[in-house]
Amino acid sequence: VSYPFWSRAAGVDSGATVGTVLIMLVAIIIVLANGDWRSKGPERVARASSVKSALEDQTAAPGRTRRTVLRTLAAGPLAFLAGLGPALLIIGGTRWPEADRIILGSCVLLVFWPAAMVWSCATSKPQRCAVALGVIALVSGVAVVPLSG
Amino acid sequence: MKASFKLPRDFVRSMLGSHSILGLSVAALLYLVCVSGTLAVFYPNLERWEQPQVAESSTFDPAALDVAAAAALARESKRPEHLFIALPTDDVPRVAVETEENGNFVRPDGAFAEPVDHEWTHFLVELHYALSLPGVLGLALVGIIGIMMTAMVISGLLAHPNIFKDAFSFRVRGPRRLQQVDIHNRLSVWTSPFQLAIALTGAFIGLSQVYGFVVAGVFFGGDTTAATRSLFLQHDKPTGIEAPLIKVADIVERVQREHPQERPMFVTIHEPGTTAQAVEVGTRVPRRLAWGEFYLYDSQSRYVGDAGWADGDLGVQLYSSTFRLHFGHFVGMWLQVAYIVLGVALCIVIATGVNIWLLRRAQSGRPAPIAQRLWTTTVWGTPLALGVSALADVIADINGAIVFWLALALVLAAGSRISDVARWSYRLRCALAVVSAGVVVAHAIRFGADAFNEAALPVNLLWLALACAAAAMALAGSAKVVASELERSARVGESALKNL
Repeated sequence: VSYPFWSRAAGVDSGATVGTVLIMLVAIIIVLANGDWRSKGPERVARASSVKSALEDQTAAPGRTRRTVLRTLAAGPLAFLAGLGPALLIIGGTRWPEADRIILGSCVLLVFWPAAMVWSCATSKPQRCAVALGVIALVSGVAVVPLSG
Repeated sequence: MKASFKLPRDFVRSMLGSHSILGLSVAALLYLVCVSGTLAVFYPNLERWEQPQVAESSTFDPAALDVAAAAALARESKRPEHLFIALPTDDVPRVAVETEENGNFVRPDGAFAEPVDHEWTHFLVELHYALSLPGVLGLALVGIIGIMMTAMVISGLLAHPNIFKDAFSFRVRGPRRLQQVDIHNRLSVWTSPFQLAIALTGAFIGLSQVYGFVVAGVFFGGDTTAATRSLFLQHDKPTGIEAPLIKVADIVERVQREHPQERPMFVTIHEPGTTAQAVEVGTRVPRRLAWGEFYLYDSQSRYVGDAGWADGDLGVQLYSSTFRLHFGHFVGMWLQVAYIVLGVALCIVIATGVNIWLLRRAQSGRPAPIAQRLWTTTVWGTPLALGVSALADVIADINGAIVFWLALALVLAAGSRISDVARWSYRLRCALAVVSAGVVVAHAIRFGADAFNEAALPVNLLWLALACAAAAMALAGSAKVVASELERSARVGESALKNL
């Protein structure tokens, strides 16, 4: 599992990945070995039965259809465009080597989009999320225009 | 003073809601992508397994490559855009020459051996990266699924208020929902680095074309070749003017001489047999996650440059490292097996995630019987349909995509009508065990002793492992079937007594 060992054996980037994979496998083995094979205790029942579905809260509130449409819009196209805008700003507005700009721009998109997706699906007010993402997409899109070829 | 590291309750609930919405909206497609991806980790071995009779060697004679390339070009009625020569690697120790239309393995003297026929592996890989959909559509869809999976990993981790406290807690004997919750939470938390790596690199690969089109449209006047010039080697535009086919033997020997630590993986001749032809040699760079390095030579065999995938700009290295990180092909077969184990864990996480929602609904008095039937059928029917398609390919070379989708549609149609989910699940597991073992038997009948050589044995062992796992799960499920049968008998008896 040792990172230094695997970095020496397989190279720094490969070794770090191998080390992480081994940690995950060891952890799974420990979890399985730690399995509680006895019947459940009273605390377990109490904790479990008190849990109510968060999804039910969101779907039960009034205006469900409108919120579902807004949520889908925000998590999908708006989050994509809002992530794409800053990505394009990095490509057009920085002086790094071309490959760095293109790939780091794509990394911004890959981080921003899922984060915006989580927010869109978590909030009870998806209209705010949609507006915020729309503004980010619009502002960054306008800012990219003078930088485009 | 004791440090408090507790997430606010409302925040956790909203993250849980987000996690549920995302998971339920994409579960079936994500499961398809993950099951096919788990099996596709072995794709070099699957290619060898499909043709275990092909002679293998870890070495090759460069002069034989020129003989094979000339023969491959001569048999084409229309001049190909590329001529691809696969060189022996640790994963696939075979030489093959291919154009867009035809492909053959190559004997040590350069003569053609068997035609290349990896149709089932290609189907499996296309199912994984494009869900069998054509063109950019499928790739982009799977890329978006990767984005959603990343979002689910983030929201799932944030929805865990007791992530450290429960890190090794694993209660499997409690009520079914709590058992499913523990399996889901423990596996997902501990394999989250793998899930994030797979999701992000998958999204990156899947969305790269769409992203490339956008970048080309905004900054390069719509020229995608210009947009990717910093990542890929550029060669001359086609001229269509005939010229003697370039000799690759000298070039390959030069690469071997100048980069002795690297191992050539393939040679691509662009625009072969024309004045615009160029040779690209791809090499495997040891101790690096980068896919490899590429060296370009022009039509006069003069060195043009390298792509910098192993030692170029940060962006190029980042890009080139995504593939091996996603496929798990960088240390050896044991790491591929580890990726398969983690992939199976991911499939279990997806299956238990939806199970938790179904059980929660049932416990709150709002059961979803149709969703329950369809989900159970999807979970066991997907590997079953893959097994059926592999069996059809081994027995009669039938198109894997048609058989797979047909089998999945049939099993889903049948599953939507059943009344006893436990019994149906048990039958699907039994069928999966039989079909998986049947693939090995059919393979052994078709290829004889070659079914157990170095090329085929790992995949046949994988099928047998799947058969054993399905049989074990069927045995575990049979107890539930018996319980369900007893319950039904008791109900019938009770009703009969009342009637009396």
